[in-house]
Amino acid sequence: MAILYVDYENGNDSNDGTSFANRKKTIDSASSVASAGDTIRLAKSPDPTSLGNGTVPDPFPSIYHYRNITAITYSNVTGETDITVNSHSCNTGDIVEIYNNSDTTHRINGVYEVTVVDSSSLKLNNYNAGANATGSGGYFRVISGKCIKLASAPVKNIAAFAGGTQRTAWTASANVTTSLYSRYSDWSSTRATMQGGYSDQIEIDSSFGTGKAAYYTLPATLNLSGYQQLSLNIHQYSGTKVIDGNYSLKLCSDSTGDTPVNSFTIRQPGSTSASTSQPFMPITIDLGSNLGSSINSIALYVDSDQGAQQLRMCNIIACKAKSADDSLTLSSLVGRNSTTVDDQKFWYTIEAIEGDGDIIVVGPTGRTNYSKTSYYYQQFGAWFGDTGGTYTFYKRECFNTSVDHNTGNTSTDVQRVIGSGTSGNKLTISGGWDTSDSMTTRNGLSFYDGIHSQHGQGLEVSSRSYITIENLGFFRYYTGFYLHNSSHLSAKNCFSGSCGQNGVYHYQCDYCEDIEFYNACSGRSTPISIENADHCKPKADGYIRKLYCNATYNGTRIYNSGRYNRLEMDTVWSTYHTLYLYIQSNWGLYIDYLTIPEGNTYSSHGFPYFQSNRGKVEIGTLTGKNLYYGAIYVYQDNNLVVNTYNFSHTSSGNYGYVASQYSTYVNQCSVRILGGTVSRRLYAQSNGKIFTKGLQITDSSEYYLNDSSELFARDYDGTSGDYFSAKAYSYLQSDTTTRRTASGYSWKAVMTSSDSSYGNGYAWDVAKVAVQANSLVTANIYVNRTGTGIHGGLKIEGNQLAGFASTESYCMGSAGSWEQITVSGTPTENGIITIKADAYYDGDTGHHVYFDDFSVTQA
Amino acid sequence: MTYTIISTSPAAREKVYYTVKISDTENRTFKLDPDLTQEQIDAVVIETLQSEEQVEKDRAAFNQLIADGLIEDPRFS
Repeated sequence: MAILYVDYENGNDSNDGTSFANRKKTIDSASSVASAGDTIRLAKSPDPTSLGNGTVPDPFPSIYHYRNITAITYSNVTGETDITVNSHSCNTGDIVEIYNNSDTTHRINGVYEVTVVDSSSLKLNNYNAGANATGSGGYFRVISGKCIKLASAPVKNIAAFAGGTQRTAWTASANVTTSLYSRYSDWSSTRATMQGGYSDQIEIDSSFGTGKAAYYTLPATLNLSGYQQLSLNIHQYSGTKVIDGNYSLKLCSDSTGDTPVNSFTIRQPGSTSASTSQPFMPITIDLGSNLGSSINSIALYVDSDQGAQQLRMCNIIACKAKSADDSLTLSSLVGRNSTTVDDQKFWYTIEAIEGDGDIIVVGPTGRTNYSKTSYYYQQFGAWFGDTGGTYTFYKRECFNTSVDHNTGNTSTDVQRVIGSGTSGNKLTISGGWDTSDSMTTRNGLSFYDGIHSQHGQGLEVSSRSYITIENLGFFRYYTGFYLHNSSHLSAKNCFSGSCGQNGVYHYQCDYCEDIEFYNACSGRSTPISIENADHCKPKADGYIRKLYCNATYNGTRIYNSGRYNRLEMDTVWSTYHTLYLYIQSNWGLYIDYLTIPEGNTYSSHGFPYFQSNRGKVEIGTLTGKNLYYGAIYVYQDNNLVVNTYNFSHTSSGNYGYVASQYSTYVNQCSVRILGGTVSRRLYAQSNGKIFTKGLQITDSSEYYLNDSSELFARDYDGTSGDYFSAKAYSYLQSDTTTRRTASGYSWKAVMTSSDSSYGNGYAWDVAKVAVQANSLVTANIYVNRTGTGIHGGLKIEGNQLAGFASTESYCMGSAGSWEQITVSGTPTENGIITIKADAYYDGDTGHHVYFDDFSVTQA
Repeated sequence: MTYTIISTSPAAREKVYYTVKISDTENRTFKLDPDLTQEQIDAVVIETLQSEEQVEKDRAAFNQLIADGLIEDPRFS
């Protein structure tokens, strides 16, 4: 039961790790010498510090929906350029992105806070076109929901930001080509920029050699003496990459980049071979002393000749001293820093810092296939809380593992657990221990950053057993937590973000308990994937407690799990995922709370997607909001039971998009909903069947059924004792007002369309009767129609029993009186026959028919 | 456009079902507040029908995106 000490920043793996003084550096080294029952204490990464107040302009964004810009009135007065976007639905203070405008004179592409002029006109704060002119073109998208507008700017823009006429390409030296790069497409995975509308592209020819490759003259002299760090996003897409850097950025006092005041070598983690498939990376260099007080240009110098190299840069900013609370950089994580409210625990990576350095845009960084505007690969919102408004935001820093554990491929383990515990003596890897008291107190978290989101597995636990990991975070790896082929794992209070493939990959891990993950911005694939988890413990033993996921491509995936014992979970919470929350192919699954607090706004996506489950999938309480097809999207899966389903929507999506149409989508299967309230109608297609009990539907239109779909409801619309079933063009309901006899209820059949004509009306089984051979069977029912435009009757289909021919009989009498309908036949073998009641349209959808007092006898 | 209200009947939570003739061959039932004006009912009907039209357009567009290989088909991903 020993304690081992690990400190990524100041430890050394040659130490034995048995004391704080002799602490190790890595989890690998410590776990390789640990025994069952030991605890490995990890030094905490820096605690969060306050950035002050920040406002989220719109808590419920509609990121997906873009609009055309139909007209632009350029102005040479800052903030006066006006764009026309019909029905933009913005409020003043919203933050928008403009892209795909091809005007290279005024360079309007970028991110702007807006001032609303009227319903179709907006002004772009901070933008100056440099001239008065008119134009048009480009797209407009509101990104307010992933933005934090800080009360004061913690960083200073230096170069490669914003647009307007001031934004020019860098000046190239001989054998170097420079340009502004802004090729966008909604459909491509081109990585044009991480910030504003453009990146600065610098192409160094193989004949260049060393020295100043390019420079940019600042629009005005900057006093950067209040800053000590430089941060930027960089993407070298061609040529040799030098991990420790072969080029540097220099802040210069002259205007042509010849008199350096501060110099920053640009490290480049990841593969040494540059490729267009590699991502932008946030790089931050701490000078450790104040930057220059009179900076007039910035220059890129090649320090060692590596031949031809091509790169793009954006968002070059000056950041405060590392010791300052608000020393925000592009490498920082930001969040609300709650330790008690689960949906406010997320830590986000920063996509860009916009405006005057006061607008943080959160989002995935370092992803391949990342296109700032691409609808296919992203358009994430972000969840900061359920009310929006102004909060105190925090930033925090991670241990940068790319320095010592640089990796150039996806599957390299950056850190891993070596060794296992035993039953009753788990091996614990515990983060968050305070070095200021020699790691005797745990009061923080241990967060690690791989920088390059396409490479490495932050923490691997493979083929181990009886392990507990807690208070850890892994950001910007290919996979954050890679938990594989292990058993009896616990993961408590663990975080991930901006991982290229998976934040958490939990595969073939049986007998697990106490799983708790919070993930944001991860995952081209699945941000949290629980796959092949079998031999599950019951919920009472805490198998999976919490899976929180936000701002990702897909949502959480729960797949092929629950063999031997069903997989039980407390809470699965997911929002703003671009595609689906997959629940597929499971053998047995129970989730107490499945919550989509806010849908994304991407057409018909964002929902939990139930498909091909092999055994019962039971949801205790399913809550969703603003999802196009609601929070129940079921395809070819007859195993879903929802005990309480609550679905709500706003009247329409922001920015012109209708956020929600239905509360269910049931396709080629059935679903059971046993209570709750939904604000949108039910929808089924292709022989889908929806069974409800006590479900309230507050929509004015209660269901939409097509392609032979049906609804079967008990306690319909929350009214006890009401029975209701429906098809596309007819319905049947219990009725107590029109009775042939005094007690109980009759059945009222209504044909809503002429399509429910003879043979296509509403028929249902009123009895399955055991009958004897060679004896006359007689069935009776009374019908009463309100008009002659409808018929009601009985029918017994043939080929059920030998000798019993198909027979039917319908009412023919006048309206308003009860008429006895009789069908009969004599089987020549014993067996069961099904007797149907049937109603069909015959000229007037305003008429309906009642059925009552069914009886059947055999002579 | 004015839609003919064929009948009304009580619905849950003190609402009223309005059965409305939306074409020569089809009726629809809407659950609404009692005592709505014809104009208000017409507005609901129009909104619903337009929304259905939009849904079908969206669905067709979505299917086209899948057919064009621009997004994944959720059924097979």
